[in-house]
Amino acid sequence: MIPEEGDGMRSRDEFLKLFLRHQDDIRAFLGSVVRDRGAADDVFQEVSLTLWESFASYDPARTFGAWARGVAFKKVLQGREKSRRIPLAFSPRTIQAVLDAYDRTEAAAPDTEGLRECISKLPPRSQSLLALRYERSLKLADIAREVGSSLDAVHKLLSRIRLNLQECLERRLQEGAR
Amino acid sequence: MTPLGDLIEKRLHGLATGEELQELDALLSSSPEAALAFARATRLDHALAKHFKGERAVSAIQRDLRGVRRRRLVSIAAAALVALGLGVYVARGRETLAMSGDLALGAGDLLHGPATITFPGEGTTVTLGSGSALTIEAPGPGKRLYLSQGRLSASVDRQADPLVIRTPDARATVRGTRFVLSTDQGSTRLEVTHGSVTLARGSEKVDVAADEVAETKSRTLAKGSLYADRFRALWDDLHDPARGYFSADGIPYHSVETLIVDAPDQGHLSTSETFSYWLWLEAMYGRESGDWAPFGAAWKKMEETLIPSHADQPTNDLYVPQKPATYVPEADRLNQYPVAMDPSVGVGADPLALPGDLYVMHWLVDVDNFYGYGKNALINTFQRGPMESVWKTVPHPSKETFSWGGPHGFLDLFLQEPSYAKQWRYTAAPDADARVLQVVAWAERWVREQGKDPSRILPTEKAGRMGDSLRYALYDKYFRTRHDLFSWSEAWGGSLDRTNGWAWRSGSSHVHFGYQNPVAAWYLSRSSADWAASLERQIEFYRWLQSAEGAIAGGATSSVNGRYDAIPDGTPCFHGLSYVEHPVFRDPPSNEWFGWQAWSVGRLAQYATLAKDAAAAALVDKWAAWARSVVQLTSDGRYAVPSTLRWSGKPDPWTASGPGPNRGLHVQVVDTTEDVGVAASLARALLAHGSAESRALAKELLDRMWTLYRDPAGVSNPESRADYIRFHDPVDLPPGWRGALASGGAFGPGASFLDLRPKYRSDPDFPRVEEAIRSGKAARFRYHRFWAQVEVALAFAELAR
Repeated sequence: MIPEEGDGMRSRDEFLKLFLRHQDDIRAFLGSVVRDRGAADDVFQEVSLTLWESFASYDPARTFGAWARGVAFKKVLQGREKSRRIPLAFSPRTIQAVLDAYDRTEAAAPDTEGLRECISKLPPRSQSLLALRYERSLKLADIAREVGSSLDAVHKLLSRIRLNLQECLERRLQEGAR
Repeated sequence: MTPLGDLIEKRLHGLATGEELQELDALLSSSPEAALAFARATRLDHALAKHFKGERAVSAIQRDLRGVRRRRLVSIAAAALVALGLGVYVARGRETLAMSGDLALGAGDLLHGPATITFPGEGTTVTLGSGSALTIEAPGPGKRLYLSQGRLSASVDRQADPLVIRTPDARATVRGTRFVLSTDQGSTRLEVTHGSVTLARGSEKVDVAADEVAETKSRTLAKGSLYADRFRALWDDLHDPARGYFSADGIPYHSVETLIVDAPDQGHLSTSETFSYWLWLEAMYGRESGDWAPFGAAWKKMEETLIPSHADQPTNDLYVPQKPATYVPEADRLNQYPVAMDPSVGVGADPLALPGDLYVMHWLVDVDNFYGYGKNALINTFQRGPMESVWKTVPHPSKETFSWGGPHGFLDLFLQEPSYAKQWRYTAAPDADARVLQVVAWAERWVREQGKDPSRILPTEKAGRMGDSLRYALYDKYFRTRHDLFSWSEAWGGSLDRTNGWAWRSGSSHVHFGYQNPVAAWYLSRSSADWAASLERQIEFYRWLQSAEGAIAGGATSSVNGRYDAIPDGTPCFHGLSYVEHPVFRDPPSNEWFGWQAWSVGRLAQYATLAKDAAAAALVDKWAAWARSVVQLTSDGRYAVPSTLRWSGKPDPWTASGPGPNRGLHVQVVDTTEDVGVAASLARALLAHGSAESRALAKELLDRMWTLYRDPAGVSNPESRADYIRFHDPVDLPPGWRGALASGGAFGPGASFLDLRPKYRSDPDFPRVEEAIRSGKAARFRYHRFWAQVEVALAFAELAR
């Protein structure tokens, strides 16, 4: 059945609510399997469009996130089949495995509040390193130059910071669960 | 850090080499734990970016959505496609085997219809019906599906390894074809429209070819004609009391649904059109089965219901053919009614002077007593000129006894007279009676083909009587001319009182091409010079009105504006009739409906075949080429046939010896529809035309319709009724007029369409109309109009031949 314009109006708020809640996860998934950030952004635009256009077919029995990632997955594969203009990091089989992993761990997605708290517990040097990487989007080589360290050291340092954050977030999650 | 963690971090930092990426790829696909770690890390990576850059402004997203919405407005069809994929996802398999909408489907996934399933890299489409259940199975090596319940239709590209669809009791093996597979209560049915499919049950096997159907219901796997089977399925539906097509006393309703405003303004009214289609249905049933009893029963019911009995037209003996009626001018606007009779305007004599009662159908009957004038009471609505749309009509009983309405019943709404008499009057819609005679023409042929004598099986004598009475339609309203064409109406009436009694009869001045029926005229012409003349004139009429493109333009009149005004300069003429772009009514314009094209030219095509008339065949060839060019078949399995036509220019003045090419007469398709009735009418017209191209398109339309719109009660497409906002339209009554309704309450100026039909307020669908009016958004309905169901059934029967 053709969706009515009026239905569209009614469902728009609902869509927006769900979309805003899940858009980060869709972006995260795309960013994880598409090699280039710009390309991932392009796919995200396409996915958003498709989600909105096909929102009538969304079955609330599944999570919106799983549905949305399914759409994103299809877009990624379509792009690959059509023109190979989407630079994929992995094979379709692996992308499917990543999708499954995302589906299984949806509830464990980092929440904004938790992340802020965990970051605030980091030493100031770690926080400023993260800012260089994520706020200014510097490449690791540039960060190394900026802080007067080696590339390898920055890589290891950042990896460790992220591991700490991961643990902090998981602790929070477990405490919350209790 | 673990080697996996290191690889992930390198990937995130853009430091991974090609080799390391390959290594990561292998790890992620082989180890779910690795994939989970990767998901965690990439989520965190994104969350950090977001944290440090701030959230993307909500307003930006909303701007995106507005852009999306604009695009959506122009690509509604594309949105419809996506919306079709309404599957219910249950379990995710590993490998993507198929897609439903945007869901990736793997082995073990269960879908509930309605849903459309596609397969990566090919055009194969499986459409799962509502309430159906399908499981995607692991390939073996071709595609494997299990239909546990319901119905699917499939269009399958050529497969290297066959696609196998199992049902609880059978197995269909497919290499590249189009078919419908359904299963219900343990038995399976397979309908093939293109290519072939092998159906197996245990060790039994049958190859089912195009246009064949096979079922596992019987003890052995049997196959038969697909389209004859679909005709029979619809015939069964139409006769199943549970479906609601007939009243308890066996009268076919205009539609199963009660809330519907077409020309009949409620669904459980019936019309002469409905009965004419019923007779078509039973004639085709007689052809298929050899059993003509249902046809006889339908004729009897038509006679009882719509042909007024002698008691209902009691004073015909007082009719004076030399003075058939007093002239009443037609008025252009509703507020000019009531209009006064004008005896000073001359009328012709009735050369037919048929003695006794007329044997034609009154057009409208209130089967369920919606209006309160009695069960199966003959009623009428349209009375007030070209601007009286159905929304402006005042329903009233055909027998006027002054029991309802005002002191003079309803008469003084329409006619201004010094005094009013109780009276009876009826109006025939000649296209419906003509359709009945067209059916008799075919039925006679089919009975003869069965080696039987038509006069012993069919009411041929009564058909002759109907043909006789129908000749009034060949005359101008006041017998000033004989135009020889099927005009818009014929009417007759008289006083109920014999003292100072009288009776009158009239033809109609207005002729619409859509009413012409050369098959009926051809049938009657065997024993009537009048009908032979009409046949010749009708063929000329089509030729005169055929546009440069091929579609047929409106019609003509013998009385300009219904007042015998002078023919405006520059108006082309046809045997003294002047051209009218939209004859009879202008709200909506009468010749903008594409259905007239399919109905009328369908008859012309049948006639061309029956009579082997080359001139008629040439007209149909040109028309069919146009019709085929304006039908759209889309890659999503849908179809669109024209709905509204727009006309420009005029035909060339008629010269029988050398008709003009009508280079200045043009048609344009304004919008399209999926209406099942109109599409079936078009399919029938194309089948009657009979060229390979026309037949192929007809088959395609019908197969698509069956797949899209077959439902438990028949065949039905959703339709938007924006016009239902007019339930509150005032009907425009004369100032100061007051009257009583049999269905309850009084009414006067300011009364609306709804006020005159108070029972609509308790119709179960009425809240949907109210909601539509409140929201300003057209309500959508799925209707089962009797004529449309029959049209689809007949189209399948004709396709089967």
